[in-house]
Amino acid sequence: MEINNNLIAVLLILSIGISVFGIAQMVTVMREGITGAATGTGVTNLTVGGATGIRLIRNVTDFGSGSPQTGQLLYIATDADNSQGFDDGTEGNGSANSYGDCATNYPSEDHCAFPFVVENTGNTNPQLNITAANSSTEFILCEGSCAQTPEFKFKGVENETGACISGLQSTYTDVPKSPTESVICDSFNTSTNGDEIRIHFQIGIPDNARQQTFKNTITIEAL
Amino acid sequence: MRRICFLFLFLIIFVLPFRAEALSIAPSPLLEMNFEPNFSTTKYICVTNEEPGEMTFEMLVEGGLKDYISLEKYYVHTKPKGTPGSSVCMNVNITLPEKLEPPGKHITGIFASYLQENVEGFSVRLKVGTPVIVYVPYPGKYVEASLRIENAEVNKTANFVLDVVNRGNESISEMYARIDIYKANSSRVATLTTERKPLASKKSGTLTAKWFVDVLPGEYSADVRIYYDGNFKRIEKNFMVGEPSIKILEVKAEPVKNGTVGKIHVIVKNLWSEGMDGAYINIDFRKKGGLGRVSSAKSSTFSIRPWEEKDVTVYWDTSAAEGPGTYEGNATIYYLNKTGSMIFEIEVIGGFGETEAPLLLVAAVCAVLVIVVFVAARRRRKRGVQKTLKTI
Repeated sequence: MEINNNLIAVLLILSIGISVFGIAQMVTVMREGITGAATGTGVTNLTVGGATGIRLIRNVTDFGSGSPQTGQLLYIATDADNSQGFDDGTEGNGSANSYGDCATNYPSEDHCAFPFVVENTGNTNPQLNITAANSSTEFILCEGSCAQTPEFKFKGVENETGACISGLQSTYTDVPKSPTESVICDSFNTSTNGDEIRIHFQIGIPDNARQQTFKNTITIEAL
Repeated sequence: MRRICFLFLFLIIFVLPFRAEALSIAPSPLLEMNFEPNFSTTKYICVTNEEPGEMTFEMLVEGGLKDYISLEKYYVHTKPKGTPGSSVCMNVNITLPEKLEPPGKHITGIFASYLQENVEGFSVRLKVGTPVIVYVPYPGKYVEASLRIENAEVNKTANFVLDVVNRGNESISEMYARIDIYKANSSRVATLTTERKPLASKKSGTLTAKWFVDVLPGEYSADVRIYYDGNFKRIEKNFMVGEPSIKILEVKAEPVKNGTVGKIHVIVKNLWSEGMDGAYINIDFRKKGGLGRVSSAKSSTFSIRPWEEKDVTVYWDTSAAEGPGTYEGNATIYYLNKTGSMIFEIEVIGGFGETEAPLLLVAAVCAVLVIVVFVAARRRRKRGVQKTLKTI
């Protein structure tokens, strides 16, 4: 059987009509109130348990490439205007609060070495810790013995005010080798607008450092 | 020679692909108890993937009691956040040993761990854990305490609440506390004494004291001595005495080019233990030695949390001002029907503003015309020389 356009139009109008009628009936019933529902009081027990949760909002620190400095340990950091070709640091999780070339080129984020940014997504106040698989002397290799002792350090900064309730490690200190851990923040806040911490890194490169890409595993832990 | 070679050595540091990582574990803490020999229990934990992609977690037990805790699974694969399978739950069996030493707090963590491995450069491992906390009693009487201070506001009565736990294996017949309050780096402003009460072994209780706050707002410290059956324990805590007030700490004003919009940073601090909404800043600018005309700029309204220090940006359109020169700014903060002000100076410097722009355009057109005329003249002269040569 062949269905022409007129027939389809009639069926369409008919179906719309039925739908409108149905909705009108429903509204009438709702105005009268729902019948048949039981009434009474009940007690609901609800226990909200604790959950520990963190998010690494930013976990890339890219200093780019550069060269050591003759005769001394070269310090580069995610919160400094770095030299010898290494990218400059920034305080921001995408903000313009930056150093050197990073600030100049913002917001393209070229030439920026970002700190890590960690957010507390749980409803407890965990301790935030850091450790690394290798110590600075194990992953910063030199031609022969190192002319200066290599360094690998971190520090914590509140990315949002009040993010660390107590025990913020606010000056640079060594990232220890696992299983030893260092505390970034003793009590990490859960407050919606105060639950982000930046982790800055500082590296001390000896003047006879070997040509290499540094390799290590950093662990960020919340307990 | 060695030094020169090293100048050409290149180091590549931290090249990591960007990916946000998030996970959670519940409940937390999993268990908190006083030590009982051979105590055994089964608990239930859930690991949740908070990311849009699938993730596989390694489950780890770390700490002094790791040999007494076993997990149902040591690897869990989770589906993306919000989909069935984004949370994986399992049983945790805990059986404590016959003896546990030394006395004190023993923490063992049950972790979900995710490694974002990078062949070149640094890798990042994210570990989120829930603790199993076991307290081994000290011989005799041993107190642990923490202090809470509520309602520390000017002209109000503050409550000092000491949460005390007897971690010893003997009961305390009487305990009380003396609290000395000091202004930061200064003299004592008050001394409080709590009530006296007993505390059974392995039990917790509270000691309280009240203080009518008749001091100025600012930072104070509480030096607490808890006396119990001939012993004492000392703890200290810094705290803030507040009032419903927002203070302007600093105004950062860089020089602004005339005719452009300048950015002024006003640093404010909430001196109250409660948050405030609907605050805003208005700045009136008046040119020094000028006509006395006032131009104004206003920030958007903002909220501020208890004790928060905030950087509020105010944008000032200098096209309505009196041109280059030094301006006096009066920044006023409005909140809770109150105000606070700070005077500062800002420079408006000459620049290519709206008035100079047409002149600049004319100059550019003139420069282009000069270049065109110069090039055309050189070509004509060249052709003239060639014609002369042909003729010769």
